[in-house]
Amino acid sequence: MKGSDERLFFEHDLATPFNNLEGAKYLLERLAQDQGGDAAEALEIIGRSSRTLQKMLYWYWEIRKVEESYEPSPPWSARRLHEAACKEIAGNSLPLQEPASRGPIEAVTLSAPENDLVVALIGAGLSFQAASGMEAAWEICAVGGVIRVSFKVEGAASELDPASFFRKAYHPRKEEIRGRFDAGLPYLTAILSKSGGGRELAWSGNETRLEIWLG
Amino acid sequence: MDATWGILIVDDDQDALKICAKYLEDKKYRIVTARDGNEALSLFEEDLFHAVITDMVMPGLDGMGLIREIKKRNQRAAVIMMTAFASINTAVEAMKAGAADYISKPVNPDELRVKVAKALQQYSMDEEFQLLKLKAVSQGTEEIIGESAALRKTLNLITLVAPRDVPVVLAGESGTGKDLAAKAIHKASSRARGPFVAINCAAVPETLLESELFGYAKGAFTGAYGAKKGLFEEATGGTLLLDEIVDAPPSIQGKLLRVLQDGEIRRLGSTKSTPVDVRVLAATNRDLRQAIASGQFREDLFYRLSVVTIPFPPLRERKEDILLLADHFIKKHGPSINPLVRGIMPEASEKLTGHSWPGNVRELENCMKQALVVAMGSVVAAEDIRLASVPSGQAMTESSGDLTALGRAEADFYRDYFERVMRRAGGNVTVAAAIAGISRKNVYEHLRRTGLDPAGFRRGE
Repeated sequence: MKGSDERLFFEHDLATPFNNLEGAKYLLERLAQDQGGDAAEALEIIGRSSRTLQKMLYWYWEIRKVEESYEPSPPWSARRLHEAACKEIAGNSLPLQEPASRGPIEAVTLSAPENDLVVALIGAGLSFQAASGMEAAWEICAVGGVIRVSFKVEGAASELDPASFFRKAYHPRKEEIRGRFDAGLPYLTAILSKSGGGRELAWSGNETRLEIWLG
Repeated sequence: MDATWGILIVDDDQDALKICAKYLEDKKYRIVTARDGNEALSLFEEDLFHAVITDMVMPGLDGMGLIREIKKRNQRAAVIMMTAFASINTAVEAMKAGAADYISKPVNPDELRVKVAKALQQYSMDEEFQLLKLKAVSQGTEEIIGESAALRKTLNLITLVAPRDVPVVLAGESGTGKDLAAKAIHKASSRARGPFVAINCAAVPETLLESELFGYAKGAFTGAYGAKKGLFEEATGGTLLLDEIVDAPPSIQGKLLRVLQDGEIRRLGSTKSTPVDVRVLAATNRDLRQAIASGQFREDLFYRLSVVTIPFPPLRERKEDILLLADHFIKKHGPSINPLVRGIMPEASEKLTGHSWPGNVRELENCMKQALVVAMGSVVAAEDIRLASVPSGQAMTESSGDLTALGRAEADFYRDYFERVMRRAGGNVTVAAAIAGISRKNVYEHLRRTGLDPAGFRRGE
């Protein structure tokens, strides 16, 4: 996903609530002119559109913050990543499995801000899960001095072309994103571009994975 | 009033869908909405939509993919891309994929209405153009006349099917124009420069039909002093119309199936196969499925032939075309039969439209020819129209119907004609002979045959 594509998606989704607000105005104008407008309908549209705008601006704000004022934190053990992820999932009752850990993850240190990274990983996992429509298995392991985070589902991507699947994972439907995890995979991408690391959507046989390298 | 235009709106945002539908509220439009490309495609396949307004970014099948899929299914459907991607690149890509227009979000309702109206106008013009094209290619054979919805549907199908090199079944009662359509299909196809060959399978005995279709080798039978090409070979590079296909005997049906499967024929008495490149059209005035059920027609041949079946509506189901056709036949036959006639009296029109026309267009053409013969003034009057007395709605077959009508028509015509001539002449045989342009002796002969008494006309009976 190129940065320009990401901006286009943002522009598209931003245009929809503005479009709907214009539509609500049209309904109210028709009502005022006694041409059969619908006030209740218009008010509902205004409410939904303003909530969508709120979410989108949060998304945009968070990513811009990372892009413009990212500050690395002092090195910290990746063991805390596992613990913090489990705590967030349980504390927010998120529909995501707790990560399994494998290998000496505590031996690897990370420099991305802990809280931001945890939120970004969980957001990415939720996006990936929403795109596949299946519950993802989450694993954090240490491989050759780096941390590999993987979300895995069975078979989901085989029916979709890679570009379409990735776009769905990158750009989840509005009703499937939640609170501060709304920024999802684009937010993780922004953090990785500053702190080092990478992410990739991969599949083999009957398995689809979102692979992330940290450190 | 039924909505004229079907419009499908596609957007994954429920509010955007509702608003777009509100913007387009109009009696002329029948609006249907879909939440994504796949749902839109299912709806598009089930119903007739003239225009599709689609968002671009949607889960599953996106807007660009949807345009491509819709264009595969109906080239004429107008697609308007509705998106926030107000970039030239996206617009160009959408247009390349077949979009008719492009509108940016937030949508301006006036702009949307104008673009939709423009796209539908284009749709309408495309449809007219296709019909004109078909009419143009059918010129030189004969025009297919009519503006009824039923005929337009048939003409649309012919236009769609003509350029595609597939077998076609033309199904309809006798006299509905299947032969004209076959010629039009040939002329509008890539085979137009090749030959058009037709054979009536019911009119040729079984023994002859095989050699007619497939030819024969020298010495194949007594009297086969030389080899002869069959119609399949004659039609190579062109089109072969197999008329009354149901009447082809079972042995011939089997051979036809092999030709369609293998693309080659074997002449009677020959062991060598010859490749043939022929488009086969089959016409029938009977229900092929019923013929299959009764064992008269091979099911496997039916499936080979009926890649597309074009139904031809009987004239009684397109009454609005009757007067157009009648007028056409006056123009066509008037100059040679009765150049004075220019039109039809209202009472005559009523008589024409009230008839069930079991012999369809052919019967109407014969009727108008007769009317032209007997018409005395510049218009065809009700009494000039002689109709076969077949119960309304009852179709007759070509063989029995036309022969009965013609046999009766001859006697009816003379009686009617000389009755009118004698009335006009006031019973004076000399005047009647002058009107009819024949000798007095001939007038007397006709009066004798028709049982008319000149004295009765002098008395004003």
